[in-house]
Amino acid sequence: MTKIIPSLLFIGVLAFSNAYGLTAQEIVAKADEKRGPDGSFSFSVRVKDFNGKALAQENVYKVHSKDMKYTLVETVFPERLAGRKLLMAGSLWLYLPTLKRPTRVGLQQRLTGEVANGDIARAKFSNDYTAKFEKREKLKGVSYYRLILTAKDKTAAYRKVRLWVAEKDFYPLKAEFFALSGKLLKTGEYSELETVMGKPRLTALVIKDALQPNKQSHLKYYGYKKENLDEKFFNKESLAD
Amino acid sequence: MKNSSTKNRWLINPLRALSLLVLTSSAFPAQLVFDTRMELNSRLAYHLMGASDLASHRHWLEFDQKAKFGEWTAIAGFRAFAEVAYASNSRYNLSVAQSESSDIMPNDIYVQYKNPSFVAKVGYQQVVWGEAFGFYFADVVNPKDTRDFGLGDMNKQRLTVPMVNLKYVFSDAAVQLVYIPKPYFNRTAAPGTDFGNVYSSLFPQGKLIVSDERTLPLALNNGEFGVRGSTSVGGVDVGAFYFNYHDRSPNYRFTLTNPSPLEARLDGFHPRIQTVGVTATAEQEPFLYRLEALSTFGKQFDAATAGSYTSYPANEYVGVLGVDYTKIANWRMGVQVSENYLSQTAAGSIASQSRPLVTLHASGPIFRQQNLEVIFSYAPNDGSSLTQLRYMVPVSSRIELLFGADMLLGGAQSQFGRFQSASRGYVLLKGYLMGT
Repeated sequence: MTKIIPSLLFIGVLAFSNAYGLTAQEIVAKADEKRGPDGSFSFSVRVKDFNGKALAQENVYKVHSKDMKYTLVETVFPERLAGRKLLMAGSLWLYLPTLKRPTRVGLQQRLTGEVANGDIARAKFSNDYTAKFEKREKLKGVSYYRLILTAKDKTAAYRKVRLWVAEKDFYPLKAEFFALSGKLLKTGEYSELETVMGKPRLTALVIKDALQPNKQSHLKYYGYKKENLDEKFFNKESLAD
Repeated sequence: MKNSSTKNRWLINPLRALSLLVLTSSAFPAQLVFDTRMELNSRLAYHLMGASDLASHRHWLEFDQKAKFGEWTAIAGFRAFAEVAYASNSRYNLSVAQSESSDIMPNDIYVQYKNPSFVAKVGYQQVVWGEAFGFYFADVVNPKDTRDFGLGDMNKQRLTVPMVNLKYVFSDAAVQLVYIPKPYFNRTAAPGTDFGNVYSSLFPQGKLIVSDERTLPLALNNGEFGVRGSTSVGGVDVGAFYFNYHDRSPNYRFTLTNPSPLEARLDGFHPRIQTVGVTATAEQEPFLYRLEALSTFGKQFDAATAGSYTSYPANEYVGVLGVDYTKIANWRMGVQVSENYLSQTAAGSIASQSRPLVTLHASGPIFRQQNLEVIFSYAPNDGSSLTQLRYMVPVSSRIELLFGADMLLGGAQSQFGRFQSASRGYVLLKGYLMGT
């Protein structure tokens, strides 16, 4: 009997979700819309890395994205690193002005610090992960779907992500990012609702190191602009000037 | 009155012109955007082998001005340096101080048209082919400035040359054509400098004058051309190229000009050669593989025999395999094995028939944004090695300080050991200025 009740409850949760006609994957897709727009666009992201209260480093990137499938991240600040480009289009290519040619790098390699390339590029969870319901949870009086996301392939920034999405309006609240081993790497909190390309979206993310929470990265996304970007724009052969 | 009217016309016309300009510019969605970039470097280096005297006190400047209007870009720039060490250190002779203490060279100077599918670039520029780490295996298009023996940033070692560069880009492939109407050759280090021509030691009994051509006349039959294609097949990025050009490094002709006192000349020449090559990269976590295979036909190699100096023909085959370990997110590290093999050799050949090289490299952050880079190259056939260390400390968003060392070790005739006395430790200050 004690085993049957939770099972019935879980079936109840699924039935509830079906009442909305949404699968876990669809809920993640809706949460993605609250983080970034669809189609081809560009934006900037300012990343401030803190060690405690001290600002350890600050970087600004210009990002071009097409359907969240192709992404080009260019360093704008600091000036001494300006012109570095990271192209994510299946494989990962790094263009260094000091080399003047694109060099293929490992998918897990990063442009900066503790922030994954996918965090900078605002990769869509629904593209890269398969979602499943874990449970419903009430936090500060608000009901959330707790979903577990598993990477579809090795191109995803993390192996697993646990995501809290508001039942009422599908805004993501927070996320936990896991390594292949199952170890919790980082936590993220979404905030700062602003109108981006005609819709209210979350424009800030605070990422904390799971082991050293005083190590934080604050990401602020701004300057969204619709672009007409061809797939060829994301060919590595187009990287040099 | 007439004067006043003329004055008014002069006053009105610029205003009219300005309004026309405003109207026309507002009619086009594109805007004219200017971008200025300047890099200043100052290096102080001391020899590490023997007397620890001044090896380099160099200041160099790189300046680029870019103007972009829609799909059109024009860029003009130059690079210049002043080297104080040759004049202030008695190790270097007067002719070195006079000829090698400063230089000014064109940087990128070109006009570019670029739309999503097509890129056309005409003017002084760099074209870079290849996947390997560090050394110039498939990077055959531009001549190199070898006065600092390949130490430092690759883009600063490449000499920009005027060429026509056309590239057609598909969604997952590209085809590139290059045409160089007037060939230019490597800038080799002058005799008497740290990395200078050591051939004079092969003729100790007399005076040897070494001269090298830097370019060939502008003529149809001197033109160079190449084609390169690249694509991705099942996660493997592959490229193939063909380049028909003049050898960037010189071969020498020996002439006895005066029997008493004994005097001879070595005159450099650059035969036409052809290189075909394939490159590939593939990732199999946690490793990233890089491959290059090149064949160069029609090369000449120099040989020094008793009292003479000759050249012999041989084809050169190069194979490079590099493996990077990618599991450490912010670090890049790997090993690369290469082999240069000559189809034949001759008595007294300067180049060995087989020149294998093993290179280990690692770079990544140590503390905050401070970065360490280590490169170790070892030539198994002669036991010589090159170790390069660079530790970068950011001072501000525009300035970085580098502490470095280049150690060349080995026998007197070995690949790296012949420059052993040039081993140095240095401090380098880099500053970047930008504006739009």
